[in-house]
Amino acid sequence: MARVELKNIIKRFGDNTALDDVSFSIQDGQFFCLLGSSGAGKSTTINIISGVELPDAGKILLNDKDITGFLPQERNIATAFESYALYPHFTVYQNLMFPLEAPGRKHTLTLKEKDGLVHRTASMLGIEELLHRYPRELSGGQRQRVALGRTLVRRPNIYLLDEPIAHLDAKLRHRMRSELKKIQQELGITTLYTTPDQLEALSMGDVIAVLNKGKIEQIGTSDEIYYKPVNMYVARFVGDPPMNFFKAVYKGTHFVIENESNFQIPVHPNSKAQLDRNMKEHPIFIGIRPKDITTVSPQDRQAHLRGEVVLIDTLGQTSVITVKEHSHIVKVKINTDKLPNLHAIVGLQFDNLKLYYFDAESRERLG
Amino acid sequence: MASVEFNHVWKIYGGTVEAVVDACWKCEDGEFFSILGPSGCGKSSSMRMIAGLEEITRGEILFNDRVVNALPPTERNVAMVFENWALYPNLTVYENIAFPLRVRKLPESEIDHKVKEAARFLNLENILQSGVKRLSGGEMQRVSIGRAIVRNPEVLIMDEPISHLDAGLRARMRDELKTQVSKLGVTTLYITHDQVESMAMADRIAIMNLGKIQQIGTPLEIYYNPYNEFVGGFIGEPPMNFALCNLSTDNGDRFVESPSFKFKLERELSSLFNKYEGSSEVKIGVRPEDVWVSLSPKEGWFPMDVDFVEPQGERTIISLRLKSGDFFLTEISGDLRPEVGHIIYVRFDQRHIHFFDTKTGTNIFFEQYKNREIERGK
Repeated sequence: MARVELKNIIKRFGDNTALDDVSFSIQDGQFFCLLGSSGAGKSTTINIISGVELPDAGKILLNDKDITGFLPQERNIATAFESYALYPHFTVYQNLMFPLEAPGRKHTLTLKEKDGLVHRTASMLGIEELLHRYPRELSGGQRQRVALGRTLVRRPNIYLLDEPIAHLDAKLRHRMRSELKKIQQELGITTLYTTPDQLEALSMGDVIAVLNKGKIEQIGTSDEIYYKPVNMYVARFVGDPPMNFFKAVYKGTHFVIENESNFQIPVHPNSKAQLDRNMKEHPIFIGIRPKDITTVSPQDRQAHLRGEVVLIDTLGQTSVITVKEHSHIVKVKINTDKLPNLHAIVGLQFDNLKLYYFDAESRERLG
Repeated sequence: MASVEFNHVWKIYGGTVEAVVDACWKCEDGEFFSILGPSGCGKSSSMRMIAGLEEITRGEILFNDRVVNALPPTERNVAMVFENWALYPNLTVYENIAFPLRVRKLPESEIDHKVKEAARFLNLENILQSGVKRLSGGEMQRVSIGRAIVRNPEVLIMDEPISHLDAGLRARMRDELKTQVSKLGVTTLYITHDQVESMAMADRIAIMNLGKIQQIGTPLEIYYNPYNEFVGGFIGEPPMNFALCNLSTDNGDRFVESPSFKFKLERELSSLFNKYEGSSEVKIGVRPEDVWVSLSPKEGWFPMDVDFVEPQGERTIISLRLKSGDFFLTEISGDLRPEVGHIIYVRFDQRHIHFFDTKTGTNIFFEQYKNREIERGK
């Protein structure tokens, strides 16, 4: 049983503030994803919880007990790092066995129990047939699974997994996502998992915290992060291709987009009452996801704007086109069978029930 | 500019390790051609042979139909853009781009003219005198391209130029690269292990595995008509599902059967099997988007256990457990969220079932589907 709480953590490296007043709590047994691009502060957070780094300010609580000053080995936390850090002169088996026999920890397991744990972990990760090999005889993906195994073989208070499957190929990574989540659910061990991959976070996290330049932007479930982003940063970071934004002014029956053509997006009758309450005549940003825009003929009166197709990415059944309208670049996700030609002029129609609104200054979401 | 051709090219290391096996392909003049494959597939060896950094064991490489096997790298006029962009950190943008011209001891006025032309083209005019250390990733990439193209190469090779970037940035860089390269119109060989990059950017793709070319085609040809099981599984995300099945006939109807499902082939597909004389054991491949799902039972749909559910905003990925112990992924709309442990009902879109030979892995109907107008979407 382990509940972890970070309270107002600040960590500086020289002039650089890596973590700026970070607070969150992870409930017992929860799979908590920390999502952010490289340099956001993910690894620093891991290091602070594991005790490798000390915070400049703030507290870490484990089941309400302050462990901020505890040594790493006193915390009973198992960490898997992105760099594998395997012992080169040990076989995979010995590498997996090591945490169970490491000096400085209490060991109560019999040799047979330890051996059983090693084998069970190896089979969960699909590396059982590699047990007798040395790290140098393994591919990057295999090494990463061994590194992960060395963490999962233990039964600590908390798992800290720092981009643990980043180096696997796409197919295996997909398989490992579900395996890892199932292992975690089965063991019920509180887990913090970091990733720069928004799909991975959406797929796996019971709760997701979006970290940006050392600050938490939002904490929420997969659906909350995707459907109710609190600001433009989260809205842009989650979803692929990212959300489109347009600076606009609300005019009661429609929005006027501020650019050379001043195109308009009509307000859907169902959202008018709410918009009247929330919108004033100051500039906002309208956001719309690429899948909520459809292409129509440029002559179509339903078209909200017209532009030139400047890029086509065929991805299989769905494709992404990039449409340029004066200074606006609009990404649209469409079925490949509806692909226009490159450089064609197309009309675009926005689904006005799927719009997001953001304050132009604070970039916070409105309403 | 030039076309690049591999004519039965082999690369064998130390007499035994076959890195490239009898590769034949031709990248046309001005084409954006991608060599795609997992690590160790032979794509880097291929690239190094083109650049002249590696000897060709057997076969010929031709630029514009002229054999270049014996030409040293400096005479091939191949420019390269690398993963780390390899800019000179202490030089300005201008000097970075000018560098290959200085090496060639071109007159100053010509250097200046060419650097400025490249800069104008790549939108670098305003930062020509800046150092490169503080540039954004996109700017560094453009400088790197500028340095590559300033000497009018016949061929531009890009070796995993963006694979180390975070997903968001990678997508933006991809757009930028594609835009720049298409403006330049230079013959481009783009080496990557990331199928999304190849699919999104390339005119045509050559897929390699274990030293061998698996298939050459446009992104959509490869996606909709994979030559073999490897290609089917390598292209597409989430990946294609596979299941071993048996073919049987009953009363003139043809069935596909596995321990987990049995379905009748529709007429069009069934007639393809009329001339089929291979084994009755086949492996079917179905993409997650072609696995259709119903939450309630339907005639002819087979039940499967929900093993794992991944909410991804607008879509949900479901992992279904088969009786064989295999898993089938399906991609459904984001507002459907069946629960783990529940049973859902499944059928396959028969227009997009692929049949693979269990011994060779080749797509049994590759030839038949080659000329079929690609039915895109649903």
